[in-house]
Amino acid sequence: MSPSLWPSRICSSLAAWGWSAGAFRRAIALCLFVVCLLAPGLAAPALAMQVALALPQAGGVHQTFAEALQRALAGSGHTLLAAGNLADGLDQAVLERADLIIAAGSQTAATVLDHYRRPTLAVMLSRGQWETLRARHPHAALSAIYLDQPAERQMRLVGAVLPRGGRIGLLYSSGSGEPDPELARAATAAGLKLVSEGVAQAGEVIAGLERLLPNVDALLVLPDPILSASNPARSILLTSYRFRRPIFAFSRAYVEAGALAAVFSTPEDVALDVADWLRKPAPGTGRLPPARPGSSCELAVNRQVARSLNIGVPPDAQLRALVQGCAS
Amino acid sequence: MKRVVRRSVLCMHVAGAGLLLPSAASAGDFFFDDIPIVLTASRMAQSPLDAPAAVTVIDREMIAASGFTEIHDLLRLVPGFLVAQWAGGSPTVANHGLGDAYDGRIKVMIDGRTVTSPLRGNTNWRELPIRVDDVERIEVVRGPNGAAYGANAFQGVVNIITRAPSTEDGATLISRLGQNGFYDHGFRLSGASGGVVDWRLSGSRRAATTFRSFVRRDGAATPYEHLLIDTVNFSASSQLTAHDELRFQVGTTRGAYERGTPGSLTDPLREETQGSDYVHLMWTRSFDGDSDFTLQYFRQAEHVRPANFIVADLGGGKTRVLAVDFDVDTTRDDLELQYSTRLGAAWQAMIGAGVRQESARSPDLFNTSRTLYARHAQVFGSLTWQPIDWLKINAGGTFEQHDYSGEIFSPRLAVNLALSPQSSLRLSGGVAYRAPTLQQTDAEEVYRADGRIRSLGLLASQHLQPERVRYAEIGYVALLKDLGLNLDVRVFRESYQRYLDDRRCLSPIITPDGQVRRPPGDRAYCMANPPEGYVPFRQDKPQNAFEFLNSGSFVMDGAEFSVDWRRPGWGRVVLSQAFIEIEPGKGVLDRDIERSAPQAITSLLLMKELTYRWRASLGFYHNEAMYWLNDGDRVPSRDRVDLKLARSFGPARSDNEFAITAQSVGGRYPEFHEGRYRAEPQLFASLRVSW
Repeated sequence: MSPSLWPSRICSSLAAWGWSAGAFRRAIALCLFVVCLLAPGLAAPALAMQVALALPQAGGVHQTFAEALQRALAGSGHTLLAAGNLADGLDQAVLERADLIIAAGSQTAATVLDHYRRPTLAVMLSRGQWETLRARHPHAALSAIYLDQPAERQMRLVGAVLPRGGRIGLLYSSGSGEPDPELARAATAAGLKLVSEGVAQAGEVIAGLERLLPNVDALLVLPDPILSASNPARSILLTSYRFRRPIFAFSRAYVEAGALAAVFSTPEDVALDVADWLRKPAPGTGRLPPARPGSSCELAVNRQVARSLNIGVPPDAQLRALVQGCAS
Repeated sequence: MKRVVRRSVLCMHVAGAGLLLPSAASAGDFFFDDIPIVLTASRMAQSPLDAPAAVTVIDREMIAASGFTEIHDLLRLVPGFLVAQWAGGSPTVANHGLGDAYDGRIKVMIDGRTVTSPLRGNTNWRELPIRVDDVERIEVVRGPNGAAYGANAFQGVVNIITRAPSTEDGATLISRLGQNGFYDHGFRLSGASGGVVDWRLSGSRRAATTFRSFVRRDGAATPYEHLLIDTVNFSASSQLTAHDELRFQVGTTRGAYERGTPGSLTDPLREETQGSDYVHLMWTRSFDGDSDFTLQYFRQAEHVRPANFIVADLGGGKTRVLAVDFDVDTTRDDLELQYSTRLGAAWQAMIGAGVRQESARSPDLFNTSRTLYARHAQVFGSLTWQPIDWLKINAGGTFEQHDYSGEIFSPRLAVNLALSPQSSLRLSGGVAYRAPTLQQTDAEEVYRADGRIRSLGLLASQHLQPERVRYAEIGYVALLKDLGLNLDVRVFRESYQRYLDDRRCLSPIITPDGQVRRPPGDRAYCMANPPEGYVPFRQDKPQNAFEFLNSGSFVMDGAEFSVDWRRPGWGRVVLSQAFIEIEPGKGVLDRDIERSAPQAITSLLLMKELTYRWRASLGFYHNEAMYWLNDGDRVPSRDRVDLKLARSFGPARSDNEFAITAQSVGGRYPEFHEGRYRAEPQLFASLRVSW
């Protein structure tokens, strides 16, 4: 390891030791950590870190994320170390010496947190998964950039396509809890009214849709452990089309399958977010960013569906401007 | 040393912790998981703004409001379409005119499966193994569409699309009960959604007296018809992968008819049965939203058991009852594949091929106990080019090889000009064919007595050419969403040649020594010699027979429009109007052809939402005087008014409904043949309950 990295290692080790221990040790660690940060000439070289990247498996979207992160960090001074994957095995040596572990996927993050006390940034996971991790590791040096889009961003997309306002329906599985109240607030802000319908299991999807769809102008689907499975998703797409209601979804795949539009973050977007944070001075201080959704996003529109449902969707550039902050 | 943490560690962690449930643990992947591609361009209803032909969609709301309980009646809602029932066979449907008892000029499909009969090319509407309650929508191409569907998509295409099993669950019972023994009891059971296989089982039994006999002014009685029809249908689909769907359908229908004219010797009361069965297997691979591949196979079988006797004309006004075997058994096996894709931003292509084998067996219709076979192969395709936003050019065609009509090619060129994002102008032209049917190419209808052929009926006495229509049209479509208004206007010219008709002809005299006597050049005689073994009752003079032939040409000009206005909370109005004129040309044998198109056809469906979950609807159907051809005759200008009052009940927006429907509130009206048939009014109550 480069000598210039020692200060940051010390600070981050202190932080990790403190965050995962009892109150007395945490207080000592905090004091030492503050001293560490304030020590002139000690924190400055800490800008360059060794960043270990742990994946759930080789290939797929996580590999895409890894490659995008590699590209994004080029020239940043940080060193990105491959720490293997869950399927083939994680590299313990790399993970133990890393200043920061980036864990892609909730299972990867859970495993890393169980075995390594290093500052960990979980990515490529849902907000629900992040909250589960946080609850299980309340004192770990842990944060996340989750994939769920902010409610206001989703509602801006709906409002851009339905400028005259209207009612947006949300079908959710009641076992996952009530919908985020922020959705209703964001809907109101976008000139819409949110109407929610809960179903207990996949077998109730159609009954739920038949209650919901006649009363709304469009349907919002969110990632859901029950409703996002293949067969319920198929029923949702076909039943919504039967009622001629457009679907606003959370992934490009949903749009290709028949949803009208979606706002989402790609692995590349997440990689850019991570790189942006690492390039800022803050990481050198040892502080993880607050958990948040990705700041980068993309839009996808199925114009065949729009045409078939006779819905006028603004051109891509205009839609981007209306939704703000997303590419398409 | 490198120590490896393997997946087993994770499993222990997950199992031990119990916090990350397996489903929840994989939830993050939903952002990147494949979703079953179910709404590709070719599986959705094409926007009328983009369609290369005039299209009318009868949706579920219209079906429910119309009060119609049979599929063919729904086509009264299509601009220019004519529907008639008669007591001697299946109801018949025509577009603009040229309608006869066997509607062989309109191709009918259910979920992409051709259901027209191989024998006569017509549709046995009542034997379609489908219930109105299972129909999601009906897409009707209001004009020739041979370029997309080949021969027999001659005057129009009716594609009946059933509800996908994956969009229904639970069970439904429906019961309709009315006057004069009318009833229609049905059920639907659906597999739970979210399973590996989505399925629907539905069935019904319905009975009605469609025609009651009445005594005309001349003292003659008119025909009577009562029907009892059972239908069972099973449909299942499974999403094998995110890209692959398998669909399986099987169904059967059995109809029993009491037909005849009370007190008549020539048309005595009798029982006839008719049925059909089918199996349909379809595999679809969707590559993305613009690209998919479909492979389908279906088999259809029909069985007709009509009366086993007939009254033969002996000449000189004398008749005699003869025993006949006019039982008909037909099959169709069809294998078809189709591939649609986008070729860059401006190009879209579709290509496909199909092979079909049809068979028919009817001992006395074909004068053979053998089963006749006809094979048919086709390739088809279309290419759409959209160089700029407001211009779309579509060129398409179907090339076919028929055993009984040779090679034919049906091309079409269509240009759609977007006048605004919500309106477009369509210019379209092409050629379509109606291929002769098995009956028209092979008929040798014989009546036997004492083991000998004593009389002749329909004869395929000459090699027939496919009937041809050259067509051109200009259409305007506007979908004004803000106003809740859809407009569809069309003017067209259709030029028909080689019209397939039949005529009465004289069968040559057969002398006792077997010589055939035919005066040379006398066009009144049938073109072909009578079959071997023909010994007419009277050998001193020629006897009547009938033969198929290509007759003359004529031109049909017309204009039509439909207005569909909807206001949420108030209701909806769908008005259709068509004006038609037929100009006869050379060689037209039947002057009724010119009069087969009413000058005007009107349909109006008014749907009104009322308070307390009541809904009222009114259907008005009018056509000017016209002639149905062949077995049909003149029907005067007439109006029909249907009313329906319905109230839904149970949980909000529930499917449960109670309704009273009155069809033809103005009473009986002349149908198909003014002198013979009066359509019966009907009043019935219906109750639908779903779980």
